[in-house]
Amino acid sequence: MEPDSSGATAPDADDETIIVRIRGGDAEAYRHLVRRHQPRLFRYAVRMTGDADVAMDLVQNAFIRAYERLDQCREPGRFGQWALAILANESRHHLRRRRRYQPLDRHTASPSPGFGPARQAEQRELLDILSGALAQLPVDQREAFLLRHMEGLTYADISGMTGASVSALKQRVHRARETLEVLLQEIR
Amino acid sequence: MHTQLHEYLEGERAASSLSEDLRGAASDWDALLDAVRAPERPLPWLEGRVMHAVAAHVARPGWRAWLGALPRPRYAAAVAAVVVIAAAVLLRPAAPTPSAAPPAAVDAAAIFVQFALEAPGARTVSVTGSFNQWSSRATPLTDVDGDGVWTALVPLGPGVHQYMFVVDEVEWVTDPRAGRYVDDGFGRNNAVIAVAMPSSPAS
Repeated sequence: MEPDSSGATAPDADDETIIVRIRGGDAEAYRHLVRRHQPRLFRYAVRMTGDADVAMDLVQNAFIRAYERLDQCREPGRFGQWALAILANESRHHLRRRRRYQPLDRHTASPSPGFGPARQAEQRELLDILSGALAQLPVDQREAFLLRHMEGLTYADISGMTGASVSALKQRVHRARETLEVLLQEIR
Repeated sequence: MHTQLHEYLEGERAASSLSEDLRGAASDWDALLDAVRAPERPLPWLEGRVMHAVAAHVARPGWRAWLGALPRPRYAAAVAAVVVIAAAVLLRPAAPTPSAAPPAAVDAAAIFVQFALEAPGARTVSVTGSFNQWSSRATPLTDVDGDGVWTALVPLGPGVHQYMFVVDEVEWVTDPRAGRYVDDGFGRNNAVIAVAMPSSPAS
C-alpha cells in the first residue's frame, strides 16, 4: 500500500514496503514492524523461558538487533520469521548462560479471544501444565518443538534458523513429544 | 508414544485413519497445541523502549563499537563506565499508552546515557539513581551477547543525577570511574553525572 499523502508510512503497509521506507531514512516506520510482530515474538520468548520479564528483554533486544541489521534482511516480506530467528538465537544464548537449572516461572497466558470463560479457563490450565512440562525439556528440544508445533515452521525453515540438520531437528521434536507425553500423563 | 500419533502430529496421517484407541490421545494433543498457540499480550511499553533504542542508534550508529573499545581489566573485578552519547536525541513526546509498569517517562528533550558495567558471572545488573527514584529494579542492564558487559541506554533530562549499580539485587557498586562522588549517608559513595543539553539539536 502506498504511503499516505503526509509522507508517513501507513500502519497496514506490508513488511516489504515498510522496510523500503526505513532503508530510505524513515526510522519511525520501524514502529509498525514492532507493533505487528511483537505478539508472535513475545509468545515464543515466553514459551521458551517461562518468564515474562525475561521474555520482554529478549524481544526488545531482538527487535533492536533486527533494526541494526536490517540491511541483512534478504527477504523483507518475511521480516517476522527473520526477526524470530534473531530472537531464537537470543533465547538460546540466554538459556544456556543459566548457571544451573532454574524452574521456570509459570507465566499466566492470555486466553484466546473469542473463547467462552470455561474454554479460557481450560486453556489456561492446560498452558500452566504445559509450561511446567516444557521447562523440563532440554533447550534444543524445547526450541525445535515450539518452532515446529507453535510456529508451524517446516523443518527446512527451522534448519535455516538454527543451523541444525533436518534429521537432527526431527529427532529433537520426536523426543520432545515423547517426553511431554510422559510428563503430561504424570501431571494429569 | 505410538508411531501413528507422531505421524498425525506431523500432518502425515489423517485423524480418521488413526486406530480407535489413539483418537482420544490425538484429541488431547490437539487441545494441548491449541493452548501452546494461545496468544500472549506483551506489555504495551515494549514498543516505546524499542523505538527509544532505534532513535539512539540513528543518532549514533556506532555506539556498540564504541562500547566494545572500552578497556577491560585483566582481573575479574567490576569496572563501571558511563558513556554519554555525545549527540542530543530530541524525541517527539511518546503517544500515551496504558501500561501496568511503565518505565520512566521520556521528556520531550532527553539525552540518552549509556551505562555500562563489566560484571562477568552476574545474574542481574541494574542502575539505580535519582532519575528513577532509587528503584533497584526499574532500570535493568542487559548482557546481550554474554560477554560479561552489561549495558543500558537511559534517557535523562538535563541536570545533575546521582546513581549506583546493583548487582544480583544485593550488591551495591559505586562507579569507580565517575568524575564526582557524594556521600550517600550510608557509608557509600554515589556517583554523580551532569547532563547538559547541547547548544543545537543533532541532525
